[in-house]
Amino acid sequence: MTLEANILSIVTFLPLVGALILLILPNTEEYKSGFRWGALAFSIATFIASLFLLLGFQANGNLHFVMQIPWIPAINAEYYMGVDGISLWLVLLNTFLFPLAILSSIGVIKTREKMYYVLMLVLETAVTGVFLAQDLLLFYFFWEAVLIPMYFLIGVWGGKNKLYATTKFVLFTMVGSLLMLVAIIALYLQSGAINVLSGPTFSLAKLMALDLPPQFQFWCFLAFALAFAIKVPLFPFHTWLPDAHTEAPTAGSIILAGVLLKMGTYGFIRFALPLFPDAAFYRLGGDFFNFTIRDLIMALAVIGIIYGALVAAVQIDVKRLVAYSSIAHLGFVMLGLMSFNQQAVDGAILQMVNHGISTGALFMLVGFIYDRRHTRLIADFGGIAKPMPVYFNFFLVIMLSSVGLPALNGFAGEFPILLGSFQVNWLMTLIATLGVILAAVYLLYMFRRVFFGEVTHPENKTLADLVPREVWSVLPLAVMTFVIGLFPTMFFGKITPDSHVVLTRMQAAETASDEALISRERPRELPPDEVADLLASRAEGGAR
Amino acid sequence: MSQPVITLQQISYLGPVLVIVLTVLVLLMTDVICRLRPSRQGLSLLTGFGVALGGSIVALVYSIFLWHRLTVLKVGKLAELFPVNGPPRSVSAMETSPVWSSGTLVVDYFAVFVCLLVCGVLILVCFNFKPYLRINKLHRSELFPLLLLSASGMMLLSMSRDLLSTFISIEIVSLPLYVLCGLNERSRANQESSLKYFLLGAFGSGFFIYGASLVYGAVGHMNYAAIAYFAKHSLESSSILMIGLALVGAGLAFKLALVPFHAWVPDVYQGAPTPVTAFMAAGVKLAVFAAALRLVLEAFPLMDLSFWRGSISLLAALSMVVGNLLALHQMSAKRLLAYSAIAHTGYIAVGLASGLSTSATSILIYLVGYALAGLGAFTLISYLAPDGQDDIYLDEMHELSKRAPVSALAFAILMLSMAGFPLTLGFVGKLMVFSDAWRAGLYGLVIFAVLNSVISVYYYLRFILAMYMQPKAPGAAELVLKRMPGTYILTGIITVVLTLLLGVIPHMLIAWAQSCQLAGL
Repeated sequence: MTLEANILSIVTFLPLVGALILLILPNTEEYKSGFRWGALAFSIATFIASLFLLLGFQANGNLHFVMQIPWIPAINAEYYMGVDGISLWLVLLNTFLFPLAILSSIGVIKTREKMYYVLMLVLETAVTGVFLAQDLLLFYFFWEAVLIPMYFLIGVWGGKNKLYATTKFVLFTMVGSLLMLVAIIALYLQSGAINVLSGPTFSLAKLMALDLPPQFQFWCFLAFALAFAIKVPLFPFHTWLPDAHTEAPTAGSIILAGVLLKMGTYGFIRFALPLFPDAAFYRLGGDFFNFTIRDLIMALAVIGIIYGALVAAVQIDVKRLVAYSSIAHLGFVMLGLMSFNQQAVDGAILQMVNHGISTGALFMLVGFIYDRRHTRLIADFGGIAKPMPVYFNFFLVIMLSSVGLPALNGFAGEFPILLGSFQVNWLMTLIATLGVILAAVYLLYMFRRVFFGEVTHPENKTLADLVPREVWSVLPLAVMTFVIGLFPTMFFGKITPDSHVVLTRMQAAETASDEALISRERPRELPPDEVADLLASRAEGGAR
Repeated sequence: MSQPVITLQQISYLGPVLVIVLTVLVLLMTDVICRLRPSRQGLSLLTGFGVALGGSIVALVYSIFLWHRLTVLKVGKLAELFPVNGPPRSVSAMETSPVWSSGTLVVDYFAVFVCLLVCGVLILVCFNFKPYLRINKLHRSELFPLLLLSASGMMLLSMSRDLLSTFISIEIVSLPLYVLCGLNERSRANQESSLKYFLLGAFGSGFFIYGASLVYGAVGHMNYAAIAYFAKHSLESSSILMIGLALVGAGLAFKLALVPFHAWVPDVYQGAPTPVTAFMAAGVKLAVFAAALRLVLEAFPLMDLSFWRGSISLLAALSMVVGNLLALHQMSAKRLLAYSAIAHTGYIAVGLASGLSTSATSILIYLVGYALAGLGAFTLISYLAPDGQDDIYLDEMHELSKRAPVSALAFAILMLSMAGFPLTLGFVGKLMVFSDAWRAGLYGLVIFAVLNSVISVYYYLRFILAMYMQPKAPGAAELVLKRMPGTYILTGIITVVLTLLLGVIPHMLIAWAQSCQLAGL
């Protein structure tokens, strides 16, 4: 048993070990700081462990640090973990955000601290597991395990309307994930029916090798896509998100926006698309107006971009504004993923990380000001650049990164997405580009009203600037916006070989679907005499 | 037909049942002897508990031994007791050589596994009763014999391969339970529960026995093998047989509480003493489903598929939706769990409708998960309930997580298991049952069941919402927390640990249950 084979398990379960240790400490006053710093220590240790992934990682289109042992042999389920270029940065994002989220909540969370930090660590384990699992059942376990700590985080430490928000969050997610479970079962049984000798399997690699009938792919894809679309959230399934974000405690919002939403987009690129490549080109509609599933998802993504931006523009609550901006940003990611174009997909994967950093940081910054004033309404602020210069600077950097200013990370992700998707569907890209402009409008407009001008509310005059703990929690994020913005190729280099594997698969399916379409239309183009011949030969065959 | 010979060895395979019955006799006799003393006090609570627990543990060990025999001998079954054989009369009177032969009772993997589970349930219920009787000041020495008698019926039920022996076993299960429900003569709720259960239970039994008599009229036998043989070889489909089997099914559906035969469940579950409710939820459901599995998988497969699969699917769908919708807004914990029990019966019936040979495996796993969660939840309810009462209300549970963090956590885990979240055994059961139904082609039913479990998530989360998130309601009574009795702690630990352990590493359980396949499709 080498470090090489166990590193993924260490990264995944180290936080859980920490949670169990915290759980057995007595819940008394003198241990209070033990919970805080213990949780922080474990999450930092996890981050350091996850850096080893980066060291031994050579991008070559294969899984790395694979651990594959039987888990439930009776049903062929395996404990099968592995990391590749698609999940690498998401895992690092996750282990990077958790210490910062925990640090930012130290002292802010005042009730039931033990439970809070235990849940944060459990959540970290579950999210990491989602990104690393290569076995569908294992993936489903982690996927659902994410739900429970998040349910508590919103429900126990949330705002006024927390009960409604948290129940809605769980029920929305459950509808999707249970239908996904049905699809997993169907896929599992189908694999058993095709490979009679080796029996049914949950293993992603083996399932991808199957040749599935198109109709079957279509229904399974719908079930998977629904689960992931709710999580992303794609346009008509987004209504849980503003509630959940607004009511969640700051760290909860950071994690929710930073990594939980990525589980949806990651699910598309890792599971839904490669497992059912033909489904993406499945045609809906009649003879005169038809479109593929891919067109549909791209359209929903673009609607999400515009809708999210427009709704964000009229919000009076900063946190709600950031929440709606998430819908718009994730729309870009989905647009890029569904383009099946190398640039766009790589951009989308990087944009997942970027969104985690910049939106996570925005939520953190909103949380800082909320802790001081206990309000998040834009109208309650104004001119606070003067009393809080450090805060102002951080907010400026993060806000600009979210807008997509070149040299910051947002640009490094959005630009390739638009560049790539333009080659596929120029109309949708055009509309999406409007969303970039709108993002600048609503963010800058909010920024002006909060920070510039005279201090209109007297209580804002004496606002204290960020304390060192807060600076330390937001500084790494601000640094990362520059690092990714200035050296994007460093990140793309690890992504491309692996996303290329998925892309080849998708492009092959696209070619096949185009050919099928042409051959289906061909008989209509046949000259009349050939048709007559064809009919005659068929009649002959029937007579014989 | 020659007189069947029963050897001592064959009798020894009935060991678990015999041990339990023997314990019942010992308890009853010693009780009588104790009452002959001048003080006229019956057997003390502690002695009764000790003997009953000892008997259950011996039966458990005996079942393990039988399981071991099965694996060592590498046979499907150890014995067929009271065998009958012959060609069914109605097919051909001329034929003389027996074409089928089957025991009235059979000791196979399935039966031994169910016996094991019944013993486990029995032990945990005994644990529950000890503090319950002390706290509620009930000195009823007849309790443990009744409990054990009912359990012996459950074991017999899992072995029965004949409508008559099934009927007798069901009655052995039910009659003691009618009495147990009315355990506390001072409690009106107990009395009401007992009477309702008795009346509706008798009604259900009437259905069953009438159906059985029709089946006998059509087939000339009551053995499942005979029914299966008749269904395969009779030239025209016999409507008498169909009506008979439908009535038998209705009788079983009464006991299982499938909608529309469910009306007794909420009142009986809520009114009965909590340990008895636990015993009903965990034990009766297990045993009657075992009987239903034998009937469906051994007698039905050769019959018209759309007839039995269609009707079971319909009952399953109705149970899920009615149980879940009525549970949504219940305030009483026991009543909520009663409605959820109806819904769970529906999920299990989905597995029954698939009728595959593996259905026995998946349903047994589901039942283990449900029994553990139910036993644990009812134990916690009887701990939390105020003295002299048998129930708690959701608004009394507010802020429980602060006052009793460990109990709240345990309760939350058990509720998540009932809701079927991964990491708990409840999920494994649902996974197995649904995948069986999918394999059988019941696509619509599976999707319906899955959407129903989303509804159920809502009300299971209401417990967690109440315990962890809602502030104390202004008018609600506050639960007085006592020290938790040792046996409650033990039950809680066993159920929660097993729920999680088997939920994460279910391999052993699945492998064992996989040996319990019945004939099926």
